[in-house]
Amino acid sequence: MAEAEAEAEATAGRLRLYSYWRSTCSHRARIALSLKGVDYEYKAVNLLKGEQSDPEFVKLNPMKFVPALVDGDSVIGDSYAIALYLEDKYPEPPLLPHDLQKKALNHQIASIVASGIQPLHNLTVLRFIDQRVGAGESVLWTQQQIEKGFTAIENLIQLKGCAGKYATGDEVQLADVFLAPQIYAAIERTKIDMSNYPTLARLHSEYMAHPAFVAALPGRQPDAPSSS
Amino acid sequence: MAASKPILYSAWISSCSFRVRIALNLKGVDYGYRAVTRTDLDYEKINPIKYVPALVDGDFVVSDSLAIILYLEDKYPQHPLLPQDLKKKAINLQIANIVCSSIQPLQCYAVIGLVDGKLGSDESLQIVRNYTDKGFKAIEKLLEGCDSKYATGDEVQLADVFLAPQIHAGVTRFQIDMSNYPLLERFYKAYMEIPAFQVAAPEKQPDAPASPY
Repeated sequence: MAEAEAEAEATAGRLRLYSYWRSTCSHRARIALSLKGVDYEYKAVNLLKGEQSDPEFVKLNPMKFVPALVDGDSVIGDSYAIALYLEDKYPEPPLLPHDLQKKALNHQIASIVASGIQPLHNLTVLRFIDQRVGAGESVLWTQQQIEKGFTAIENLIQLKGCAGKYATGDEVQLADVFLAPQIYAAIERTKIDMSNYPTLARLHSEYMAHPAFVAALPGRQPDAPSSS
Repeated sequence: MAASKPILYSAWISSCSFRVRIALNLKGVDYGYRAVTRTDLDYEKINPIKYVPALVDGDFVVSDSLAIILYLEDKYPQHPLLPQDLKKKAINLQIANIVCSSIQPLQCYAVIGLVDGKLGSDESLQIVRNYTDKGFKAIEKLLEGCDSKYATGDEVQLADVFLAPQIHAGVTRFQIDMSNYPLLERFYKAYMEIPAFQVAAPEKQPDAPASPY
């Protein structure tokens, strides 16, 4: 099995990311890797074709979610855990400030996205809504979840007066890693009216001008359809 | 003059609040308890998304259980909840996130849906069980072969702090069959022998009703 050995040698020491081009959770991991300048191998998992249920993938992540990061014998199947793993392993540039309060604010914003918005409009939940309420209802549902979450984040950022060039200051931090994919998807796919969220709209333009964020965009990934 | 103690905005039945209560107790942090209900309009000023828990520490306010607990982890390093080892740390965070992103938010949706009359009781229960079973099954698989006292070792860690309230809710409110999850069942029995967990339990909180379930 000379080919397999050669392949194993070539990828030895290289991180591998299981990702779907359109998955906002995968998008978060891609941004973190890109910001840290970490080279990785991209393994596409086509969610629409059900590849997350392939036995090999389920072994890696029994939740059948992307992203999953493989680093030697470490397998991490959650975007938050991946982001904090990368933060520890590749300290530059740091995504979390030393100041405890600013750090906590970053975690709070990341958590609103990761626990308060995205889980309520991921693929499995949308299929349930369409089945139960009616075909196409998931679109309205998604809009409602995003608007609720964006209102909270916009209010929180304004309440804290924390925004600079980015969400919590003039440096890219963890909050931005989580916000960018959610805002991008909201604009591109759900067609959310961002006029109610002036800070988030501005942050979106900053992210779209930042090379590390641009490299992580869905349309730039190997599994993105060429016509998108 | 003693520094003022942190204040926890909490609801007795909230599993997210339960997590933070456990963490505070494990770290030996004395705190004030402020009960919050859904009709408290003022609470929005504390937390714009209106969820419990929130922690007020002096003039600093932080909300979301994971953010609060990671803040406590930094501020009160005693009884650390995250190991130094990166692989072990990652599994703790992964399990915590399965609970707080893939189980609890759907449970919350189902419960509120029932309370607001948008979901029938059978449907609501089915949703909770569906997401709980999926998450528990995955965690059981991730920890396959675990022979330590708790999820990731012989000390209570972040994963345990998130698992205990989720299992407790499953067992007390949603008739989850824990015999399907031998590891989680074993951990849960161990958790409920620890005073920090017992004192944090929903039924023990100042705002718990006389007949909780």
